[in-house]
Amino acid sequence: MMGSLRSRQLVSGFTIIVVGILILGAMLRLNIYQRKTDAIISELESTSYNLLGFIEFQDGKFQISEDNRKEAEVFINARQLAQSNNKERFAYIWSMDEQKVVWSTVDNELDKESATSLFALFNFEEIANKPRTEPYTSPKAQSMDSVPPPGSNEAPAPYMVAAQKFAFNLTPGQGSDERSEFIFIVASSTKDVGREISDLIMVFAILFFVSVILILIAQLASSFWVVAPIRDFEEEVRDIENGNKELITNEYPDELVPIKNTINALIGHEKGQKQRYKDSLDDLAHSLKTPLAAIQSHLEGDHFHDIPPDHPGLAGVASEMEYMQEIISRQLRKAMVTTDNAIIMAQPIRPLLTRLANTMKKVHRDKDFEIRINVDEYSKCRMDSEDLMELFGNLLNNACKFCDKLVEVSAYRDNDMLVVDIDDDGMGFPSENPSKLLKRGIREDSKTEGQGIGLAVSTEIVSAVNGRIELLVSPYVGARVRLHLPV
Amino acid sequence: MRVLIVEDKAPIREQLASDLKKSGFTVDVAADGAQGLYIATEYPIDIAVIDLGLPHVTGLEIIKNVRAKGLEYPIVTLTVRDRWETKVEVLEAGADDYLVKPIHSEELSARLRALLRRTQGWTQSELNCPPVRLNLTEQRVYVDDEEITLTAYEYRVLEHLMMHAGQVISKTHLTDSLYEEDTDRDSNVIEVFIRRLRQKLDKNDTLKPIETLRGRGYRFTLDCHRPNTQK
Repeated sequence: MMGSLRSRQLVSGFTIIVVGILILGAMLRLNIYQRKTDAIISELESTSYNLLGFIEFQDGKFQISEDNRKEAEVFINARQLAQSNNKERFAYIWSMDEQKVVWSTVDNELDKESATSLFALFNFEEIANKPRTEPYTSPKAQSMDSVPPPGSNEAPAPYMVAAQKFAFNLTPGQGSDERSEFIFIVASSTKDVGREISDLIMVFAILFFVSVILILIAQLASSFWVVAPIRDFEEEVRDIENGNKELITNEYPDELVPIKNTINALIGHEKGQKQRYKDSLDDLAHSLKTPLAAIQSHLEGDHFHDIPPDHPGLAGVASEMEYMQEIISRQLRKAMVTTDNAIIMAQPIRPLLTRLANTMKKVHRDKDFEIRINVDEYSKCRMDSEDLMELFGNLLNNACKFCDKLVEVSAYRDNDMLVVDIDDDGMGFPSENPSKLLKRGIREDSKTEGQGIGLAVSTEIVSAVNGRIELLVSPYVGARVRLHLPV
Repeated sequence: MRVLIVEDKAPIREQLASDLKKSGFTVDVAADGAQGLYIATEYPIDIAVIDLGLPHVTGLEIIKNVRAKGLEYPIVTLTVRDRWETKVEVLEAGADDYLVKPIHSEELSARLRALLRRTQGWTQSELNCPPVRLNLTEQRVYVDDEEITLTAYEYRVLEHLMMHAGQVISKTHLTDSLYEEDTDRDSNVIEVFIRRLRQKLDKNDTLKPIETLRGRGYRFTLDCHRPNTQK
């Protein structure tokens, strides 16, 4: 799951977005609730304050004076205080002495039953006993739960209540100092507020959900866009692996440039290493073979004029030296063969074959024969160019040497291998055990010096790149060497 | 035939020079690339043997320079690098043959002779211009299947003329191909050789194999069996 960069990006993005949205949602919900209750509170407080202004105490009861009745009605209607059918909003005065509603926005005189059916009652004792911190300020609204009347199966409901406690002497001037306590209640059900908020939350939730999906889609799209250079990079590296390119050359975003440089440096290093290796081998060959050749010249020279050429000591030295030379060239050839290497460019073999064909015409100029190259420029194989030259040089040379009139090279693609046939119309391979020709040191043509190891060297080159070599019969009844080379 | 040997290793150079002299070549030697390049481009040589690993100027550069100047004499290269990459490179640069060290003098001189006659369109090692036959490997001359005894110099003059049968060879050219640069020359010697050759090849004075073109040189006039005439 975390294997790919894109999935990592998606998962991390998704997590952050979901967590963020949850936090934002919770904050929003709190905020909305706060605002909503604040609005209700201030509205209730002002309503409570204003309504109380209309109410007078006359004739032992609370009422709205005739003068103010119209205005009060308008006010009550405007504040929707008379719609108490659902116990939503209402205002009343509760007498602590009588334990009943003594005034309300609906009716003045109410018995206890109708009062409980119209209004929600609260824990008046608690309100009454609450110490007043600021005695003369406007009423404070706060949320509280209703107290269902005893015997009813109603559940307590949430309300925002502006409660005002006041007390005065009902019969002033009669010597009694007793003050009756009343509680003026203006309440608004907050059940609806909860529902409103949850509706709002629902809307927000849908919005959030949609935006999450949108963001995810955007992320997916951008991840494609972001990951695209990485994919291109990967493609290019694969190209190099397949040998279609030598270095990473495309332009990439800044973050990929160090990787690009590192890989290029690595390729350069690898190549340099190979070149140095070859160079030092070449130097070794030179420095060993030259003195050997010089010794040979000395032996054949005039200094040994008096010694008969079949002198056993001299002949022994000469043959040992020849043996040394053979060992050197054999081991060098073997060491020069490049082993399987990922950073080798695949190259078309046609140009190389054409060059070799021209060379062969020059090498075997005494012979009248034709070299046909039936290889198109799409025939590529992934091998070091020097090894390719050596391989085809040896095989073509053999073919040219043994052919009668014709040498033909053809190539075709077989799965992930390039198959190259080198045919001639000569005498072909010996029918018994031709495979021993592939082994080093057995000379196919003992008359021609040093050429017998051609096939053996070819075998070494081919097997070093995990290829295959077969000795078959050509359509011209001569020899066919079939090569399977990596593409 | 005048051959140039460019080789920086003294024992090999001396060995090759003395062996080639023995087998009838006139030999010039150069010990480094610069000297080799000078001789190769300034002297009238017939064939060159050039080592590839030379100081100052590499063998490959000499070959390229020689060919760039339009000189077409055959070039044999010597090297210790037995790789087809090198062979192809050298042959493409204009060399005609490629020998891997160590070199046996007999092989080298055989290759040189083969190249020399090939560049003149001869495919066999025997130059056959009836009734005269010249065997390059045995260095023998026959007229009507009867062997003629020639001195080394007489043979060289005849070989040169027959090799370039039909072409006019100047006296200087003949002298150059017979003598090394620093030897005293006497162009009268050539006239002596020609006269002796005429006597030996044409006892009855009927064949007239060698024609004298006054002021220009000599020409071998007999018709030859030469399958691949290039020049």
